Amino acid sequence: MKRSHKPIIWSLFAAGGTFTAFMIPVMILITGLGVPLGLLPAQTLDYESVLAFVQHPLTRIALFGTIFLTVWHAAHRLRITAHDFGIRADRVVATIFYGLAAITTLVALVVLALI
Amino acid sequence: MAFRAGVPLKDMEFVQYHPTGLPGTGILITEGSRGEGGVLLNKDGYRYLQDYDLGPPDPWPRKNAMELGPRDRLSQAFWHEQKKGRTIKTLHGDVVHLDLRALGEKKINERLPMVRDLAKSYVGVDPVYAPIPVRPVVHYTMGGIDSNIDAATSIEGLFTAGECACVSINGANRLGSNSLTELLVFGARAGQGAARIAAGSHKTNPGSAIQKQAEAAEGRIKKLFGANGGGETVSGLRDEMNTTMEEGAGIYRTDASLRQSCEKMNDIGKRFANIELKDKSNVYNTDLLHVLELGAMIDVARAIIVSALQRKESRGSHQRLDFIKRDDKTYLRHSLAHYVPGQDPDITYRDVVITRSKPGTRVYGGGQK
Amino acid sequence: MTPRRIEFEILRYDPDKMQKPEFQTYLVPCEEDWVVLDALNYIKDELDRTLSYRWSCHMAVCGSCSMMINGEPTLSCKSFVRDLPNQVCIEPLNNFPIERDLVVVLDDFLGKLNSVKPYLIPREKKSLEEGVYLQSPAQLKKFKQFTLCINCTLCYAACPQYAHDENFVGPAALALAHRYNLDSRDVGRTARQDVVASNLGIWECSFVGACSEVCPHGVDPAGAIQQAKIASTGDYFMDLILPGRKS
Repeated sequence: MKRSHKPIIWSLFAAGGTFTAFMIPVMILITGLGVPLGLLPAQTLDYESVLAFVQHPLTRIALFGTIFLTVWHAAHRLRITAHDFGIRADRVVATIFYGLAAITTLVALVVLALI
Repeated sequence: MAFRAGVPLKDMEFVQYHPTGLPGTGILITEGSRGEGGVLLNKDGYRYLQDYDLGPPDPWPRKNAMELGPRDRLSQAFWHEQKKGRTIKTLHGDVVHLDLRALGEKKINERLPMVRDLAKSYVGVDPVYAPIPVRPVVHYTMGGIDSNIDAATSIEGLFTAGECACVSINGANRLGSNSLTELLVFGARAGQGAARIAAGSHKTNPGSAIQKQAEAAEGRIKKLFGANGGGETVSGLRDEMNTTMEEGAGIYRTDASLRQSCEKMNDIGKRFANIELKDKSNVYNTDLLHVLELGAMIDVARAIIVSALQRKESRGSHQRLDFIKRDDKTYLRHSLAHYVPGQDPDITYRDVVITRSKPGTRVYGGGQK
Repeated sequence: MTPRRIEFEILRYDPDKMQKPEFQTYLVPCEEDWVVLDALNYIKDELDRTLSYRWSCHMAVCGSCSMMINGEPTLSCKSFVRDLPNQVCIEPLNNFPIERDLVVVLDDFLGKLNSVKPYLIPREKKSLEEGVYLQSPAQLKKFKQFTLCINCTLCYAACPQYAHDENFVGPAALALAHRYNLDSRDVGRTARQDVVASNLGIWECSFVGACSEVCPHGVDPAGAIQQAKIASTGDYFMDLILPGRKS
């Protein structure tokens, strides 16, 4: 037996999981509670405000990191879940989910560079 | 196996009762529970060990505590309390109480979590709030296959280590934890000795004397498979053996009790010949295992009884109501039981080798000052 | 207290005499404080001496009496009849080949234990004269939990990955490897990684957690494996950045 290369995928999975665990409550707080309840100004989610925010260089990097970690975490999670539900064609499943994650990463890279 | 092959069993009369086992199952409650501060109480809530020269009932924390006295003395104290009617009656026999309540929940969870779990599961008692019912249970045989400091026996190439062996490291009464240490030391020596012999020997050829012995042994087992309708059961004979051993060769023995058990074991030995194997399978046959083990237990039981009968003194875990004192002049010797097929074993003696530690008087607790 | 009559349906199998395993039913008068093992012993003593099963300590420390009791991997000496209904189904442990009745073949498990090098690999071997390896209580606390394993293999019966792939090294063996990797006296993590960090080692685990649920001694093999994944990931990237380093 040899050492596995799984750590590459798994570190993204673990990092993504930790990251989303912090990100999601914050997102819910802002979009689900803050703005609707009037705790944050209504303009926070206006197209102009969001666009200006995204175009900031630091935001581009942060947003890319968020999308990157989240989709790779989701891909691995969905692959394992498929296995748990009895779908044993692991090669096919892995290709689909990691493929989707790769495509999403590329799209995010391009969009965030050009926006 | 060693016994039947001609190696004597040494000091078989010394059987250790551990003072704190659960009634019914006999599950052991570790000595550590007394080490952490547990006390033993009779039915009046009295720390009865103080009546048996085990020292003053100092409150916790304490040194030279009564409850930390040697296992044989504590088991003997129980026997006396039982005779005086001061033990507590339960469905599974008489008990005394092991009280850990003074330790508190935190300490019990930290130091004795297994004790808490065992008491709750098997006797429905939470030691944080109630005392645990306990009684002496047979725990260890100090005696065993006669072996030396190299774990070797009188048969070249046969090594032995652990509880089945008798070097003797434990004399007439084993101290707590020494069984494990003994196992490690002599297990290693036995392994090294066996490796040395194996490296210097050659493979046996088919048709040799050893092969013939193997075939004879196989034949004895095959005979069991052919036996029919004896009427004796393994559990029946085993239960009778348990009862007579406990009654005749228990914590305290007398000439009469030992002779009675001796006769009973002879009777059981004869009836064993009528045992019938119910399971005739060749795959993992535990019925066969039980029959073979019962036959062996009968031989060992007879060695215990006869060795005890012939040692007319009290020493350590071998206590005679008819010979109360220790007699170093006559009996500072190891007993050796020699197998005689179908009969009681012959007993010879070998002097104890004294090097550094001389025999002294056993005094415990506060009395040492 | 009159004993409660419980019906035990036990899966029997004797390869000498039977084509396939079949259930056999026994009616047992059970005392209130009995465990399933007591009932099995009653069956063997009084009803059917041909029933084969393993047991030894009767106090849940030896790990011999593992079997399926009403579908759950359990130690028969710790399964109290007071918690069971009047009909109980008993089968040999899941995921292992049956040798005879309730006795399963454990060779695969023993091989897996051996494969993780379950012994101290010290930095420098000391002779007896040089003295002992020192360890503080704090250092012991780090791995003590993982020393509690009694090799009962209930975790292998519960693990769906082991059921799916018998080549999976498995919970107990991986927890044992972790026990040594965490031991301050040991430097064998690299020596063990070919097995532990392989695709059939910790990376086959999908963190179902059933193993820790059935463990009778709170070893938490699932936790051990996740901790091992973190350590192994660290090793992997450190080896990429600094090849040839000592662990």
